[in-house]
Formats: sequence, C-alpha cells, structure tokens
Amino acid sequence: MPFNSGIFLFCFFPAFLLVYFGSPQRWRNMLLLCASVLFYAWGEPRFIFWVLGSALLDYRLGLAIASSRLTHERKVLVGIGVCANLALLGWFKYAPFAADVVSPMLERLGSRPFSLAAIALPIGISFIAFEKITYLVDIYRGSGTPARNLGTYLLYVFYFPKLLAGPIIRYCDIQDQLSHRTVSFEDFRAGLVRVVVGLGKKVLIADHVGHYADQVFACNPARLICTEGWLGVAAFTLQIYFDFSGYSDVAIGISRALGFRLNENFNNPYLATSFTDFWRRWHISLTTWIRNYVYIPLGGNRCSTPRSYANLCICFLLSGLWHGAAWTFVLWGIFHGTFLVLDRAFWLEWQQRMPVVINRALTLLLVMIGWVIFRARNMESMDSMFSVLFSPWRAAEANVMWFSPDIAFAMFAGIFLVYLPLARIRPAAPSMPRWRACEVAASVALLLLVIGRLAVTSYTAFLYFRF
Amino acid sequence: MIAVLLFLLAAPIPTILLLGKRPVTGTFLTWMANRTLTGITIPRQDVAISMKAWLDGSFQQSAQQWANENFAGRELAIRWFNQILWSLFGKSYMNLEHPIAGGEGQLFASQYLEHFGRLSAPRSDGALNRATADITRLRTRLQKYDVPLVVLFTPSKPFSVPEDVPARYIPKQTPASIPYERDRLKMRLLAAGIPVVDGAELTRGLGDRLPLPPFPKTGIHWTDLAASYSAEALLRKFEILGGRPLARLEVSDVQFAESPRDSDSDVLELLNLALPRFDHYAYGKVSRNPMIPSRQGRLVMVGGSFLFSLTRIWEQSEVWREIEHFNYSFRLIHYPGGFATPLDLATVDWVQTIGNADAAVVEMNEELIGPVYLTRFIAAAIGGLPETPPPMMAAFPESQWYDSESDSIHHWHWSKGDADLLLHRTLDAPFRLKAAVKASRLSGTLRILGPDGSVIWKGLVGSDRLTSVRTEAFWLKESRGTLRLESDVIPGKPSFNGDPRLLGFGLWDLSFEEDEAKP
Repeated sequence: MPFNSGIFLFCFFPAFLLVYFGSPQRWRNMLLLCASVLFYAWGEPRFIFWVLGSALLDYRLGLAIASSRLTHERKVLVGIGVCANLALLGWFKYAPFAADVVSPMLERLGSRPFSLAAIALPIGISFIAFEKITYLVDIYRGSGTPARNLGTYLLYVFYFPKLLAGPIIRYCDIQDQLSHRTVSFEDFRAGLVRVVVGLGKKVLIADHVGHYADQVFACNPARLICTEGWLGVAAFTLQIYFDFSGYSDVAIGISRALGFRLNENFNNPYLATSFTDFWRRWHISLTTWIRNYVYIPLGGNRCSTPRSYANLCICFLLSGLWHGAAWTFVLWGIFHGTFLVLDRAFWLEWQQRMPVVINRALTLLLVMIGWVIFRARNMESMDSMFSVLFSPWRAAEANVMWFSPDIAFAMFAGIFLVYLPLARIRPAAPSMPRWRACEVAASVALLLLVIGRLAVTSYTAFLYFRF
Repeated sequence: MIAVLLFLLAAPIPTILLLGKRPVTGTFLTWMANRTLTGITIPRQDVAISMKAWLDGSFQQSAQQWANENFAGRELAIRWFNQILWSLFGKSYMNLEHPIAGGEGQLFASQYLEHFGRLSAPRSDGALNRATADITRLRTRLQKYDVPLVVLFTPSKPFSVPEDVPARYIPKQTPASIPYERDRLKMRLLAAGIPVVDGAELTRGLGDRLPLPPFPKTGIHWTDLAASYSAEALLRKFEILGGRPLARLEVSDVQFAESPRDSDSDVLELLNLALPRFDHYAYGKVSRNPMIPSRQGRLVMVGGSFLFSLTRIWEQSEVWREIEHFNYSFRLIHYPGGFATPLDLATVDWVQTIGNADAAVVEMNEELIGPVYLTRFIAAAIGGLPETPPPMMAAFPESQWYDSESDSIHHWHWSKGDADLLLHRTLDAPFRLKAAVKASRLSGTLRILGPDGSVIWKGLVGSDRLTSVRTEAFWLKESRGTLRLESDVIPGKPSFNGDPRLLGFGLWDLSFEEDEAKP
C-alpha cells in the first residue's frame, strides 16, 4: 500500500487516525500493531508469515541472549539470529541473482541451466532484516534490552510508517516511545504538514522528473544525444532524492503525528562537499547501520590504513548489494567505496584548498555518474549510457522524447529546493500562529495538487481502442 | 487560532473525499461542476474478497484501483489539474500523453505527428510487399464471389496543416527524398491492379471547395464535410467496378457553428479540461440524388475510426441497404442502427458476411499502413471463404426479415410481412428454390415471384406444420436479383409462446438447386 495511493490516502490513513485517536491510550499500541500488520499484509500477503515467524524467533532469541551469562552461548544465539535473518534476505533477494551467476558456470561443467527468477522480492525485506539484526546485536552487545513483550517487539518490526523504506530504526532508539509517548496538537499539525511535503516531493517532483528519466534510460542509445543523456541523469538524480526523501518525510511525518520522533534520514545530500560528506547526509540511517554493525566490527579505523581502506570497500560493496541484487549495484558500491578511500587517502585534505562551490559541484557530478551505474538496467546499458554521456559530438537518430515544459519546471523546482538551504532562510518566529497558518494553507494547496496529480494518473482513457 | 481553523479545514480533506463518489453535474458555474470524464476506459474487474484473492494480491489490486477511481471530486480534480498543466505547459497526461498542442490552437495526437515527422520506424519494403500480397489475395478471392474490393487511404491531420505542427515533429529529411508509406503502398497496390481511392490526397486537394480546413482544430478526424468527397469517390469507384448505378452524393446548405458534433472535438474532449474552448465548425447537408433508389446493396468495411464519418454520411443519405463495419479486429458494427458487437474472427460466417456483400472497403489511415489487424482480418476472411463459392447465395434484408434462428437441425427466418430474398449468383445457370414454409398464427397462401415478376410457386401455408416448397426454375440475368415472397398471412398480433414479434411467415432450411434445363 504505497503512501501515494488512493487506498492509503482516502481509506487507510483517515480511518486509522480516526480509530487511533478515538481509542483509549492503552489500546493504541495494539491498534497500531493491527494496522501495521494489515498494511504489510496488504502488500505482502504471503511473505508476512515469514516475517512473523522470523520475528517470533528473534524475540525468543533476544530473551535468551539477555538471560544468558555465558559469552559463548550468547555468541551462538546471536549468530543463529543474524544468520536466520541473513538467510531470509539471501534467499528472497539474492538467490535469483546468485543462480544467474552460478548457472552458466555449472552449465559449462555439463550441468543443466537453472533459474530462481520465480522468487519474488518481498517489499521492504532489506529494511526489515536489518532492523531485526540490530535488535539482536544490540542485546548481545548490552546496548539494548529485549522488548517487554511480544506485542511491543512486533510493533517495532511492523510499525507501518517506516516498514517499506525506512528509516532504519534501532529498537533501543524507539523503545521508550513504544511504551510511553505523548502527542501534542503541534506534533500532530507539524506531522501532517511533513506528510504533505513528503507527498509533494514524491508526486509532484520525483514522479514528474522520473518520467523523463525513465524515457532516457529506456531509449535506444543510438537515438540519444549527449545533452539528452545528461538531462536524463539529472532527472534521475532529482527523482531518487525526492522520491526517497519524500518517502522518509511521510514516514517521519506520520510518526510525529502519532507521537513518535524518528531520526532524520536525509540532510541536503546534494550540498555535500565530498563523498564522505555525502554519506553523512544521504540515507543516514543506512550509513549509521553499516558503520555500527559492519565497519566497526571489521575493525573500523583502529586497524592499519590498508585494512581500514579495505573495510570501507567491503562496507560499500555490501551497501551496493543491499540496494539491489545485480552487478550494477555491486559496481555502484565499489564506485562509492573507492571514492571514500580516496577521500581518506588525500582528497579531504586537498579539497581544503579549493572553493566550496567547486567541491560541491565535483561531488555532485561524481554522485550523478554513480547514479548512472545505479539506474542502468544492466552492465551493457550502463556502458551505452556512458558512451552517450561522454561523446558530446555524436550524432543520433531522431527520437520521440520530449523534455516538456512541465518536466523542465519540475526539475527547476527540484534544483531550487536542493539549493534552498544555502539561502539560510529562517522564519523570524516559526512558532507564530500566522506562520503556522501559512504553513498549513500551503500544505492544503500542496495536498490538492497531489490529489490532482494522483487523480490524473489514475485515469487512463482512450479515444478509441486500437489493437 | 487561524492555524487551528485552517488545520480543521485541511485535515479532513481525504475523509471528505471518501464520502461521496458519484460525479455531480452542476447547472451553474459549469467550470466547477464535477463533470463526467470523456474517454473509453478499460473496465475494472471487481474481485470478491477471498483467501485466494487476498494471497495472490488480486483483491488488493482491485480495491486499490477502486479507491483511486472513486472519491468525491475526482473528476473535478482531474479537470483542474489537466487545466493547470495544459494552460501553463501545454502538456496533457490524458490518453497516454497522446494529445499534443500545435500552433494556432491545433490539437494533434502524437502518433500522427510521429509518423509525419518520421520519428516512428517506417514500414519495411518487405512488410509493404506482404500487405500488398494479402490485399491481392483477398481481392482475388472476392472476385470469385463477384464482390468488388477497394482500398481507401484516409488522411492524417499533420499533412493538412504542416505549418501548425510543433517544431520537434517537423521531418528532417525532405518528403520527396523518402516517400511515406502511403505512397509506397499505393504504388504497389496500383501495380498489382488493386483499385484505390486515395482519400488522403483527395482531401488535401480540396482546397477552396471546403469552407473550413478538412480537420477541425480540436479533433484528429476529418470533418464529415471533408469525408463526403471520399464517400462520393468510393461510390463512383464501386459503380465502375460493379457495373451497377449507385447513389450520387451532393453537399448543400453549409452552415457554421461553434458547437462540435461527433468526432469534431475528440482530442479536446479527451483532454478533460475544466474550462471550455471553442472553434468554428462547418456542417453541410449531404444528400443523395433522388434518381437512384435508396438503400441499395450491402457494404463491408474493415478499418478504423475514420470510417465513422463515411458511415454517418451514407446513413444520413440512405445510400447502402446495410453496412458491416469491422472496426479493426475487435468489434463489428452494423448499420442501420450502429449496433456494435464484440468480434471473434473465428466465428464469422464469411460467406454470408463478405462473400455475399455488394462491395468491400479496406481502409488504412496513412499513419497506420499495413496494420496487424488487417493481416488478421484477411487471413480469417480468406480462410472462411471457400475457393469455389456457392453457386447461389441469398440475403434477408433486415427491414423485411427478423434475424435468423436455428436449432441443431433447422435454420429459419421469420418475415415481417411480404418480403424479398436478395439473390447473388456466382454461376450462370437456372436455379430452383427449395425450402419449407410455415405461417405464424393463421394459415394463408404464399406466392413466390421470380426475378422477372412471374409466379414461380404458389401454395397454402399452415401455422401447425411445415409446407415443402420447390419453385419452378428461374434465371438471374445479372449476377444479382430478387425473389419476392407475398402472402395474405398478415402479421397483426404477437405470436405464440409470448414472442412479442409480429411474424408473417417463416422460411425453413433455404437452399437452391441448379436446374438441368438451360434457359
């Protein structure tokens, strides 16, 4: 059930708010859990049973780890839990990819070809698996305690605003809010405004520019000229940011309206001055997870320089794979890992001598090149795209793509919003009723535009059918 | 306080939107009325909730689509969002983004522009040769059934107003250097001896003969006024090919209006904008020369939406007795009446439908040359038409006969009173009619008059039993002729068993036998 669908906006969410706030405080967690399970079961009616089973196992393991005094036993228990979660992730997300890699090798040895393409990738599996791992590891490390009861743990796992695309939350960060939380009118208002802003980012900017990006990346490279290629890359650069951050805004906004405070997941990433800076600003919850649960256990910065570089590369290779099971994602991870190593090796020092504008521009350009790897369907199309991007004089056959004024406007609006924080505009008194009223009025207008756009995309009509 | 009020206004919007779902049509302030949207949509499949439907996701999909399509104000939201996009950016997401704004307020559809601008892949020589071969095969087969076939090319709007085509669709090569598909196919068809009416060329050559351009600014189809010249050209072509006089069409009483009719503003309507827009439209009265009898012959056409104008013109001027329009390959539209039925090419009675027609038209728009549906149609038609046609075929005019009925053994038609049987022979020989007849309520006499008016059978028909009929031999001088069936069994009251129809007499298991005697 996507946030930008009629069923969520007009049915699920209003009904949920009505029932949730109309119920006594003590019932609210149960209601939230039921709504969250329904939300997930709506999109993943089969896989939910796997998640439920696995969550039960985690809960039991969490209790066992907490009660065990034997280090060896605790290690075994956490190992079982982590492996079980990774196995789930591995089977549903990586088995088809692995089969595609292994099958041709075995074919050369005389084996019959096989494929696991029939395994469907469950929604949100990467986020769910990572969160469940943090729960067990934190208990093992002693930085977290087990959930008070199964219901609380299930609510942590299934909590619907962050279920499908994060932010990735550690149990210990939300533990207290699960037990006791208060919601003020201001929280509720600010939360809903954030929801509308997120929907606006997703529906009015990301979907608009994404439409052009899709056309460019689907176009036969022989029909693309360099300018179109770069416009397509720019469109995708904006699409992925506004889509993902818009989703995070909705998740954070809903949570705030319910009395939860989630950590921010984005902090103007395209204003980053280096790759190191970029990963402090982009998908912060994932970067934090990788740092805490992969990089530091591998030795982090406390080992030799080559080893720490290798650790970085391993982390970003895994980060690439986490984003998707394909060689392009592996390469994208290596690409980022390499630049992070270069940052450490010399670039962060060198860049001090250069103007911030240059650093920002250079970082953004390299990030955009990274997005080409990320967005390409496969290695061949990535290769073709790069040949388009770096051949400014190449001629191309005519194509039917149209960089229409509405897409140009959406891109302009996106760029404006990306760079708006540089203007450092702050309301004189953000708590003034007039300011809040303006904010709400703007949100209402934005919501109407979002509804308009959603309505338009839901209406596919033809003059005459033609086959 | 203001914030609270505004919030109270804003927060329940989605809930309010959930409350009502029926579009509301306003009688005042039309701009804000929740008017029903224009366009053909694929109907949503309602899925009942069940464990299976839930687990395979089909219930969720259906419910999601329902929620997207049913919230109060949806139509208004769509129209206003469309209006904003169109007014600010000249862009529409309707009809998969096909509507395109041109110069001088012209509206186009992208597929026609892409063809005009040579942006769509051109048909290969091989494909055009195959299309020519297909049409030749159909024509050869129909010749055996004495049915003339004509290929009609219909025009594409951008060629009529190239000056208003958006710059990105202007072709880079000069048109003379690479001929368009229409020219390439036409050349092949003419070489193969296929009769062609080039409605595209004809329409573009009309010039001052039309008071307004052949395409309205707000639509993608030709006006009925422009189409009438191609309708007339087709009639003349069939007259030559069939050797029989056909109606002559004349345009008179041309008037101008601001309100579009039929498909005049199809693209504009499909934009589903909030604010109305006007253009000028010209209408003329197309009439048939009264010297030629009305409603002669049966026409079969295969093609797309450009044929609707032709059928309107022919129906208004009562040219053809019946028209069967194979609308691409998914529905069959029957005139008079314009009743459409879903089409299954495998179940069509090709001998009766096209083998027994008086004329056949294959329509191709110059933007869609050699389409797939035509290949399918021709393959099915040739498959359904035996190489050796039946020596005699009969047609039951709709105005005089009810639809055919049958059971596992018999096949019969009830008349609406005195009636004609339209005959079509492919063998030059005398024939006898064999059938069984029956009256609906009261017994009476039946006379069958031959093509020359002489009585070839006379007898009593009862309401309780079938009477066998074997007429005297008769001979059709031309390939087509008529047998007249007259009876004093006058249909006056509804028949038996609650059948509400007023039945005359019934004709069972009609067949013809070749007579040995030579005329």
